[in-house]
Parts: sequence; structure tokens; C-alpha cells
Amino acid sequence: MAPNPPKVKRQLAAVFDMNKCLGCQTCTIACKTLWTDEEGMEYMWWNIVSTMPGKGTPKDWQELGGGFPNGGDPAPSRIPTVNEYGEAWEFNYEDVFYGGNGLSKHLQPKSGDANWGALWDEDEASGEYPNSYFFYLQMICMHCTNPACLAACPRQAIYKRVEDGIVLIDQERCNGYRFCMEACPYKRIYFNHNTKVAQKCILCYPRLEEGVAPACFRQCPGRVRFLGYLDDEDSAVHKLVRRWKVALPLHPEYGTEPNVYYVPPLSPPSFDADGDVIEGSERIPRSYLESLFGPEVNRVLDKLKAEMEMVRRGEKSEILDTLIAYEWKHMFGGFARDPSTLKRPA
Amino acid sequence: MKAQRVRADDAALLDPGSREWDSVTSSELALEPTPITAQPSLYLQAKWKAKPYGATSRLSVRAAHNGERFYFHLSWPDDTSNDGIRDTDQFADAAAVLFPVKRDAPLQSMGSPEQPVNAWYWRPDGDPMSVTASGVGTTVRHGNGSLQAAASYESGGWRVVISRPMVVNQEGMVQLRSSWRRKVAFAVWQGANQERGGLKAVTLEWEPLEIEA
Repeated sequence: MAPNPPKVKRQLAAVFDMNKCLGCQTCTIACKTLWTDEEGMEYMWWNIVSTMPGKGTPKDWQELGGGFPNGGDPAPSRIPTVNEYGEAWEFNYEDVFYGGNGLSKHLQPKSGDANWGALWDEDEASGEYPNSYFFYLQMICMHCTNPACLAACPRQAIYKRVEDGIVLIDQERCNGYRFCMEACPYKRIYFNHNTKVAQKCILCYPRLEEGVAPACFRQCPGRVRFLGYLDDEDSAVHKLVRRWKVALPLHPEYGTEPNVYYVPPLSPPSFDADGDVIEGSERIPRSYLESLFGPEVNRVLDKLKAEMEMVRRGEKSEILDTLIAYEWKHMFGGFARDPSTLKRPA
Repeated sequence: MKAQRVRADDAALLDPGSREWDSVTSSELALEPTPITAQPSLYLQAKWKAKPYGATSRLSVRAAHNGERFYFHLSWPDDTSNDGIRDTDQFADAAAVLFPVKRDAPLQSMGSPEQPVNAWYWRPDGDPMSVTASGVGTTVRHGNGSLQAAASYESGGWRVVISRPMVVNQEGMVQLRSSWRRKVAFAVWQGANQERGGLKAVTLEWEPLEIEA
């Protein structure tokens, strides 16, 4: 059996609206420049937006095991390699751009043959043209209610904050054993090659403590990301997850009760052989979405479609108004302070 | 096991290939994997219950001192030299010498809150570390704690010397003096088999250590 989850007073949660994501990776770069731009962290992407269907980051993470499948015993897994995460290549810029070699040399990683990297399959579609399709999956640490990483650590170096449920790795207690990297079924933990300890998304807790939303939330140009306490009835997160139930956990069968919820992607319709729209059809197979979000995804997609139909009839939809996020400050459950008003650390 | 008093300088004894070690009696110790039920997380037990670990089955130990410093010369066969962490899924070989800080500290649980243990931990990719523990999963690293180490990998095995002043002025560390009797235990981690933490080969009982006057 899965161990009992650690007790917390409140749980912060996120909702990512997959229908609004542009795949621009502004969130990815916001995180990279804030947290993982030091030596030993080059290959880390605490936040990443993968193209789905696809292999994801690290490569084929959904095939690797971990977690507590269906609430049962921990499932064995393995640590992905740097190549699977995606090596941070150095490129041969000096060869190509200087010395008049522009026509004879091409840009390539200095380490030689490259056959995989982070976002290697970005924007590669599935299905047959003209019915091809893809969508974006935004990933950070899920700050699980029952974190497999925390349970796997033999040193209690991982803890869940009582006040907000954020999962953190104590950098002093961590001995770099990397059992957490195996046990996390979402494979969101990295190994710092310089400090030789495990590191991951910290939900920008130092910003949260000052009332500022995490960098990836705040900088998202598509207004994809909502934040709030699950028990805060005024927060968009509470409404979307608890009241309207239109946001779902990714791979609920992993058994860790993740606290990032997704509004699943609606589909454009398919075309028939004559190039005419097949009314009522959906290009993304429901079976594929079920494999990500479970059978609940059918109820949610039907609900969203019904809400859109209501709006087309001229009625009002509080769900769609919330998802549209006319006012960005309403997205962050109170964490809407302007970061430029903060004092920079000396 | 007897720690022989030798008249040799530090540089000679810190060389694992030095002739000085030829005159020190070697003890051949059998190592066993730590019990799977003693692994402190369900994940570890699930992953390793059907997977062999503690792959190193024998360890040769020589112990010596010169009145000032104490030396262990450890050697064991290892087909693969894992002398650093070159990828996220790689682990370095390692070895440790463990002492009860107080007389009867339990070995299998790595000490207890009342009876802590002190380890001298060696790994090829960093300084040796002095480690204390008061139970499984409680190890605390204290920097090098005046430890010195030297190692060489050749002809299919490691030879490691790990050394420390017999007496150190630091709370929680083992103290060693001529003519004392202490206890000692050993552990070896096989990096190629992803051994780390509690996944290791150990002496299952304390070895008596007699320090020659």
C-alpha cells in the first residue's frame, strides 16, 4: 500500500488551461533564468512545455514507472540519463560564424551526434493531414498530496510544507542518492552535477511568501496558469477544481494525488475525404486523452462544449469567463503583488 | 583485528602501494548485503527485493598506527572503476569504516540516539568525510574531520588508505589510543550496481580492534 500522505493545513494548487497555451516556452525561460542558470544545472528544466502526443521530457517519462499505481505499493522505476532529459549542448558557433566558414560548416552540438534533446519532438503532430493534431502539456513539480519522492527518500530530506503543501528538497540533508528521481512518476526531479544533490521546482516559494505568483505563472502571456489554495472558495483554482470540476490531475492512476490540475484540450473538428468539416467530430482521440486524464476527461470536455454552446446562444458562462481570465489578477488566488515592488536581496 | 604499531612516516603509510604495508597483517573479511527489510523506504524495498546488491563479497583490511595517526588500508576486487558521477544515473564506488562512539552502539541500525556511530567515508570523487549517525537514515556529514585518504585502482580492484589523527578535538567522533580495544565495521559500495546509501555490502558484526601499544 501507498504510505499515508504527510499532513498539511492547506494545499496550494495550480490549474493549467491547456486550451490557451501557445507553446511559447516563456514560462520555461522565466524559470530557467530565475532558478537554474548556474553551473551543474545546465540541463535542468524545472518547467517544460512538451508537445503531445509525444515522448515528453525526459524522454518517454510516462513509460518509466514510479508512483503508487492505483494507490498500491511503490512501483520500481529508474533514473533518466542526461541524454534522456536532454543535454545542454555547447554549439560550434565560432566555427560557423567566424573565419569565413559559413558555407562549409553547419551549426551542431560540439559533443557530436545528437539524436535526442529536450523538446526534440516539439510541434511534431500526430494523425494524418489534414486531420493532424497536437497540443501542449505544461509540466512543473506536481507538489503531490502523497509525494512518491518524499516517501522514497531514506533520509527524510524531502518535506511537504505544513502551511501550503509545497514539496521541497532540503539541500543540506540531501545526500544525492537520487531515489526521489526514480520514484517520482512525473520525473520532475534533476540532479545538480555541481552540488551533487537533487533539485526541482520549488513553486517559487520565496515569491509566494511575498505575495507574488511564481515566475512561470506570472510571465505566461497566454494566461494559462491559475494558482490558489484548494480550500479558498474565492480562488479560481477552487472553483475550477472543486466547484465546477473542469480541471483534472494528470495520470491520476499514478496514485500520488498531484496538485497541478489541467483543463483538457478541446479539439478542432476533422475533415472528411472531400475536405468538408465533419460536424461534431473531434480530432484528438478521446481514448488518448483518457490515457492522460482518466475517463473523467469525457465529462469535462462535454461540460466545456456545453458551456461554449451556452455562450453561443447568448447566455453567460461563469466557467468560461473564469477560464478566459479577463483580469489577470483574478487568476492567482491573492498572489497578485507586483514583483517590481519587492526589495531586491543585496 | 590488530592495529599494528609501525615506525613509518605519514607519506609512506598514505600510499596504498607502499612497501610499509607489506609488514602489516591483513584480515580477510566477508561482506554481506545489508538486509532488504532494513532498507528505510518502501520504494527501496520494492525496487531492490529481486535485484542483487552488496556485490562486494570480501574485503582485505590492514590497520596500523604510528602513535599519532591511525591508518586503515582497504582493498577489494572490483571489475569496474566508478571514480565519479558522469551521468544522472551513475554512482561512484565508495567504502567506509564505522566505529561505535560509545561502547555498544547497534551496528545494523547504524547506531541509536543514545549510542551514535562515527564513520570514515571515502569516495574517489571527493574528500573523505567524517559522518555520524544515530539510526538508519540519520547520517550527518561533518566535512573531512581531519581525515586523509589516498586510493588507486589497478588490476581489477581498489586499494584505499584512510587515515586520521588518533585523537581529534571534535564532539561525536571516535577517539583511538594505544593499547585500547575498540570495535569496527566496514562497508563497500559498488557504483556500477548503483549502490548508495543503505544499498551496500557490510560486515554484519562488529570486528574487535586491538590497538597495539
